[in-house]
Amino acid sequence: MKQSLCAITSNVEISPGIHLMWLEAPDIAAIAQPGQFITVRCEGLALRRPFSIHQVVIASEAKQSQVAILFKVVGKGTLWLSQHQRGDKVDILGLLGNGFSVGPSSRNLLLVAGGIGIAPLVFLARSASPQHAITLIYGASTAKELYPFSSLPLTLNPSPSKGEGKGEGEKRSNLLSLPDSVRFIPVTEDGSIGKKGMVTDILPDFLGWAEQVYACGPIDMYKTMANMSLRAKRSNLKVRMCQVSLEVRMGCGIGACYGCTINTRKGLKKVCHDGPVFELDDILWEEVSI
Amino acid sequence: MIQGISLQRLPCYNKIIAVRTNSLNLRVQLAPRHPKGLMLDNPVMTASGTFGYGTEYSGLIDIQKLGAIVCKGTTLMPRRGNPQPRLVEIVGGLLNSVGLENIGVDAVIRDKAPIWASWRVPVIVNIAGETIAEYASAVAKLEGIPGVSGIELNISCPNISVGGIEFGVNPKLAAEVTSAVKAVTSLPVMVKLSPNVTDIKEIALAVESAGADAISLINTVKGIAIDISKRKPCLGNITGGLSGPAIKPIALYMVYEVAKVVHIPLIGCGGISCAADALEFIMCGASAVQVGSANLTNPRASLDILEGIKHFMSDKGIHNLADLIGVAQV
Ligand SMILES: Cc1cc2nc3c(=O)[nH]c(=O)nc-3n(C[C@H](O)[C@H](O)[C@H](O)COP(=O)(O)OP(=O)(O)OC[C@H]3O[C@@H](n4cnc5c(N)ncnc54)[C@H](O)[C@@H]3O)c2cc1C
Ligand SMILES: Cc1cc2nc3c(=O)[nH]c(=O)nc-3n(C[C@H](O)[C@H](O)[C@H](O)COP(=O)(O)O)c2cc1C
Ligand code: FES
Repeated sequence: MKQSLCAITSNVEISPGIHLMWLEAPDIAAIAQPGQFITVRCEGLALRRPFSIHQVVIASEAKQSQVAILFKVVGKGTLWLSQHQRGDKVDILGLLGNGFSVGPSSRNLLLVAGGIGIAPLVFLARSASPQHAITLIYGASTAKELYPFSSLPLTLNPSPSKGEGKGEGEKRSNLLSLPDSVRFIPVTEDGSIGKKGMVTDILPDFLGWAEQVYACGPIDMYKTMANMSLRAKRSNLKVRMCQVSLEVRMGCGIGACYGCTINTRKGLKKVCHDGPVFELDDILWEEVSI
Repeated sequence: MIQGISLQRLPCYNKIIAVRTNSLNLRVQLAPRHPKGLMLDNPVMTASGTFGYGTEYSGLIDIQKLGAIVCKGTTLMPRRGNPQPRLVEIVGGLLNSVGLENIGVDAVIRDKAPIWASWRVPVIVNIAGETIAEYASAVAKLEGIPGVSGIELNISCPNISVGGIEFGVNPKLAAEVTSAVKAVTSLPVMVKLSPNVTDIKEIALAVESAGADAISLINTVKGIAIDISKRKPCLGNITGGLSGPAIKPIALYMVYEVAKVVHIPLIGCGGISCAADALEFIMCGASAVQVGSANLTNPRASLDILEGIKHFMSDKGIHNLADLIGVAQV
């Protein structure tokens, strides 16, 4: 774990209000696992803001290795961050928390993303080995808000000709393609792309197939999944071995301030230090008010 | 950097000059009327609840350079704390309602003190309780434990044996808990005052005459924030404690006032986030300072503050920190 000033190598608004930001952070890139996070100090704010690692690129020149975060502008901190550009430096603390874990014998992995919850799951999908079959169910309110996956190969440090700025060229070359092995199922609330409804509407269709489930999204999505998991005890369709990434207000991010503690079936846990990834079944959802 | 020489860029000359920092004397005696005393190498401490047990930060910054570490508030039995959310950002700081979640004094003695015993930096254990007996029993357990250099009493807690009145708002209760603790320990005891009182001087004088070796001030200021979209309070516990830059003038005022009436050292705390803030407290009469919320914003804050104090002193040709304490009192 280290606090460092990291240079932004690019910051692109890939869809309205959603930014993809690459940072030069070799120490973090070298060890990051899907589900782990960093915190960013935002000017004028007392609390650092946490963001999941969205992507990692190990450069041949180790010092140039980078990590990406994908964030949605929701308030002062994310607005401040969104206004920073290539070359600006930001104060990063990382690597923090424990990420997702994939069992040695699991083959069929179901990834469930709600909204900006896609951020850590792209990293997970891309880190899976060829032996894994991955299905990614990804929900948003409307087509425009879906992460615009690109089929182009990933290029780092896009060098847009001057003035092009956030042009389509830079946008596309920053985006990621999903590995061919990933089956991608978009869901939108308005039906503008993919199935109409919520991710949890179609989730049951995949529960027979999935050996492990990984979810990141709003708390209500988790609560619905937890209910499904309960009901499944009576039927056969269980949300098996489901890991979720929790979002709570954080102070220190390193287990020192007790600001992020939640109650679980395994006792009190610090989300920053023991999580943010927890087993769905370990969380006392009726107590969760975050 | 050459040892003992720090390089400082002076804006007016815009060239690098060398300033000696090894001739500076930043040592402070926090417990002059205690037989053992409590000598710190420098006046920069970390405030309870924002720096865990020190161990969490030890991989991040050189904690051995600190004047002292005050650990998380500790109670006789472990405590579970309050429901989420426990933190909310406000302009100029934050509200917290952690609710004294902690591992309890036995676990501190078993798991933390042995680590502290190998450190150069002194660790002060912050103690909280709901009855005088609870404070005294927790403190008694720390007697003779290697690694524990002092006690700080958090008296901003409700006393459940007298209907929940906070110890820290009533001079009689504040004095009672102080003398009960002094009676069971040979360690220096500092008492941490609550700002949520009508007359802070009255409480300070009461704990001084009850035997406190030093006074730290202030703890958080009571506050609340409302989530207008949910139409209810932001914190799970409804109310919380305000900390950060927003409370600095309040804390500074209280140090300024208390310094006029007591004769034991004061430790200033509240909104300190840079060296200038710390120096303001020292000039108002604090012998040392505690850095709290700033650790959350910037884990390096306390060490940056220490460096900044040294730079200020060498820049102004001040060799003894003691020459700055209380100079702004008029
Ligand atoms: C482990 C973890 C990983 C995260 N990963 C991502 C990510 O990859 N992409 C992304 O867009 N968002 C992520 N978030 C959420 C992100 O941290 C918040 O959106 C951000 O802090 C909001 O800051 P703000 O100042 O813009 O908004 P604010 O106006 O402060 O708050 C808007 C909302 O953000 C949340 N929030 C505010 N402060 C914090 C804090 N210190 N810690 C946690 N939540 C807070 C609250 O729910 C609040 O209602 C993550 C959160 C956690 C805990
Ligand atoms: C998250 C948090 C937890 C705290 N826990 C304690 C505690 O356990 N005991 C205590 O005496 N003070 C506690 N405090 C108060 C601080 O030690 C300090 O007095 C206060 O925050 C004011 O200083 P600051 O503005 O520098 O933060 C806590 C403060 C915060 C922000
Ligand atoms: S954020 Fe401080 S303990 Fe988790």
